[in-house]
Amino acid sequence: MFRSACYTAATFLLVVLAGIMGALLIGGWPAFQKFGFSFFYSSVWDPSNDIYGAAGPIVGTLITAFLSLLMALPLAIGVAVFLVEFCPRILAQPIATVVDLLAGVPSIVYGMWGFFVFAPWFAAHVQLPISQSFDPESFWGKFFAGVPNGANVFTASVILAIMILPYMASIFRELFLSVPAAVREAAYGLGCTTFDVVKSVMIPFVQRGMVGGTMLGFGRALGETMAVTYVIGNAHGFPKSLFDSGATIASTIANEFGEATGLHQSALIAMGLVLFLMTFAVLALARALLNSQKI
Amino acid sequence: MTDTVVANAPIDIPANASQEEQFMTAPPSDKLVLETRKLKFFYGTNQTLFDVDLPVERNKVTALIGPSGCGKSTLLRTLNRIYSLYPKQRAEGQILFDGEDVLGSSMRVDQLRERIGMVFQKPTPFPMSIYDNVAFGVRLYHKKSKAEMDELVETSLRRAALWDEVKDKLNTPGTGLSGGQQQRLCVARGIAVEPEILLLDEPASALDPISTAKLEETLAQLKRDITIVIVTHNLQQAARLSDYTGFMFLGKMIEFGPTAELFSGPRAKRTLDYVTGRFG
Amino acid sequence: MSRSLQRRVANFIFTVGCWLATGIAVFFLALLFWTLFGKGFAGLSLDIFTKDATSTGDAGGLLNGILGSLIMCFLGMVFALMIGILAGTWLSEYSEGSKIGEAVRFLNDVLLSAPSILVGLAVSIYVYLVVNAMHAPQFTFSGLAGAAALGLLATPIVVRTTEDMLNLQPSALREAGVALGASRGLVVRQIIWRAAKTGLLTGGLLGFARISGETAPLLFTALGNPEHFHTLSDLIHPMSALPLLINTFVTQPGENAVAFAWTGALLVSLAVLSVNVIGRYLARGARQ
Repeated sequence: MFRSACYTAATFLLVVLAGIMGALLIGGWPAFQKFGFSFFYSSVWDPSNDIYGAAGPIVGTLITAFLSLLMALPLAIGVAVFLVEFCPRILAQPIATVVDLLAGVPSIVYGMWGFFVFAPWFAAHVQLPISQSFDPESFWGKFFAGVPNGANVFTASVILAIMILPYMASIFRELFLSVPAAVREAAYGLGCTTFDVVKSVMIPFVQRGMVGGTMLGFGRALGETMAVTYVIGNAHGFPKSLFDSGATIASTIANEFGEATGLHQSALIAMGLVLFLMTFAVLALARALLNSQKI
Repeated sequence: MTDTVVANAPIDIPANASQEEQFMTAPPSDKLVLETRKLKFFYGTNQTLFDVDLPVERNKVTALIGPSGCGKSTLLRTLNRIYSLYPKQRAEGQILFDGEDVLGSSMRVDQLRERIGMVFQKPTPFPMSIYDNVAFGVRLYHKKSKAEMDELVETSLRRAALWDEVKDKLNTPGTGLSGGQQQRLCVARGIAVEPEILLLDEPASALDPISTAKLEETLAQLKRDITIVIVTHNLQQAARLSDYTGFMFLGKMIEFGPTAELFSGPRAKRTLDYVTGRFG
Repeated sequence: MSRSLQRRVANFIFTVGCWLATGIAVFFLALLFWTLFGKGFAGLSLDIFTKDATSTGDAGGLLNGILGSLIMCFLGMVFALMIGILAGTWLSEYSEGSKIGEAVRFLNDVLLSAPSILVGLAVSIYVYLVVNAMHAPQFTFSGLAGAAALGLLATPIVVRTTEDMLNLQPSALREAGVALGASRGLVVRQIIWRAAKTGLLTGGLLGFARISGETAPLLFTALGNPEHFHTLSDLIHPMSALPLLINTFVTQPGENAVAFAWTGALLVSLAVLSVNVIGRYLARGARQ
């Protein structure tokens, strides 16, 4: 009896997962039916004429997640290596604990900070000078074009990067700590510098775990809502430059679902399903990698 | 010169014990409380016990000795079917306990375990008070009034030589006791249900010499009304405590007989080599 | 350059890089917290805890949000603990070698990091379907729905922690219970759970910490409410939450609204951090 209660609870999780997909499928079906494949490559989003194409937010989601990963990954590795190799021993555990705690700070806090502090600063001190130093028709001018209000794909990526940094750093740190002391000592004993040890011994030792951890960070960045919504600008087209406004699937749903009806609603839910499948694939792969790297 | 070389020649350890002869001096069958016949044990497809016959005389201490991995713990764990917790493990053959086959499908395991108790290598006090620890097993089978239970707890703790040390703190957690005390608590817990047989798997291996001595004293007293089967890697302990000893090697019972005989004049060469410390 | 010199230069650059990376990370995070604490504390007053928020945020407090968050998180945790502990127990005690066990463990980890907005969206879709079938559209948004979404988000954390903590218990403890004749279920409930109770509590705390800061799943389930919780029937009506209030105020014009947003953010952050700290402290003790 007890055993079956436990079993039921465990299988309930499977039901939940199926349920979420089911709900998104049911809600999004009208949009899929009406637009078919064009839903995925059209960026036309016209609520007044009930025409919806999710390509803009899909691309926006991928770009911001990718950019944030690009920024956060080297920093996360650096912080992890620092904590394991360079940090004075007494400080190492407290700082590591702080990093772990930071990984739990709610995303809305990051979003707020981005909106009130970072975006205005960015607009005034980076966007404005850049737009003034490049001819708008030149390559760099076009690359950095954008309304100087700090609400663009790049700022959103920066905020995301700051958010996933503690998360990934803490995973990497645990991975590095799992390398047996004997292996590290053997490498040092042969005369390796720290860089050599990290590059040739530690990272290869935990490389599957690191890829897994990176994908976890990526998966997290894909699904973030509140860190991104305030600073991404919420424009539906493909971002045409680094500092152009964009949108992510999550931010679009957050902004529009409250007021949406009918097909508009369905289109939003359909996008949600796309996001769900994307994150599911990334997270499943990440977990498989991390599991195969058993500590 | 040649003599010294021969004396220190390495022992040959075969891959399995099938070639070894068996020497059994069993107690008379009417005095037996439990007997295994041609007992085999499998871990998955891997066989670890080979046709083991173990006769256990009532109200005596029977010791199982042998080198690591010889199967003595495995044998012990078949007697109360504790291995059935693990799906990959299974036993074949017969274990006769008062005429009934322990391995048979009609044997009710919970009733079996009321009559055959077990104490483990590492002390395992439950996360509850000393009183509740001792009462735990009893409460599974009987409804007793508070007065009856109080008395039972006291009796059990006295028999385990623990009463004097804990009588004022019966409501404190069992985990707060020292290692030796915890182990005696486990003994008290095991005998509270008044089993016919108590199985002990290297009960003193985690204890210091003083606690070990106390435990051995307790066991010596207990054998008056409980049959004891004890696995030990400590040969001196086996010699001190037991009436019968069984020597096992690579999953087979090589020699079994009265302890004094086995230690002073073993009939199998393998036994002689082990008890004189040439291997193991 | 000789190989040895090459390596030393590379190492130097790398070392500088690591210090720099840590410096940058520390800088940004310190800056963030400096702003959070500075602006957050500035707005703290007794009113925050005694008055409800107004829609424009020019006066009042955050009471409705605070109470709403507490209630929905609490209910969510009740749900998460019930399902999570049982599921984690099954994974730890009964699932050896089972394919379903591997699947559940795997999918649980996926659910752990699933986008929270989608969980909220899915819950709101089901609520909508049910509510329309019952011809009671006034219940489309409710505190219960919000609690359900939060509960679903916290469950995977509880499952994971429970399984880990139960696995830490020595098998000899189980065997000792079974050897006395107790059934497996009894051993788990009366011995193993009790032995692991600190660890199980940690799972609850970590789950609570995670959901108390969530905004997105509440957007379409609980919606928000200018009044604070009065009676039980309020559960089936829209309910406010601290993150929801913060969200409203961030986009309001006016300094007061922004001040409320920061104070709210501070409260949420402090709650999450302190629960996390307590949880980790307990977990360390449990592992001893």
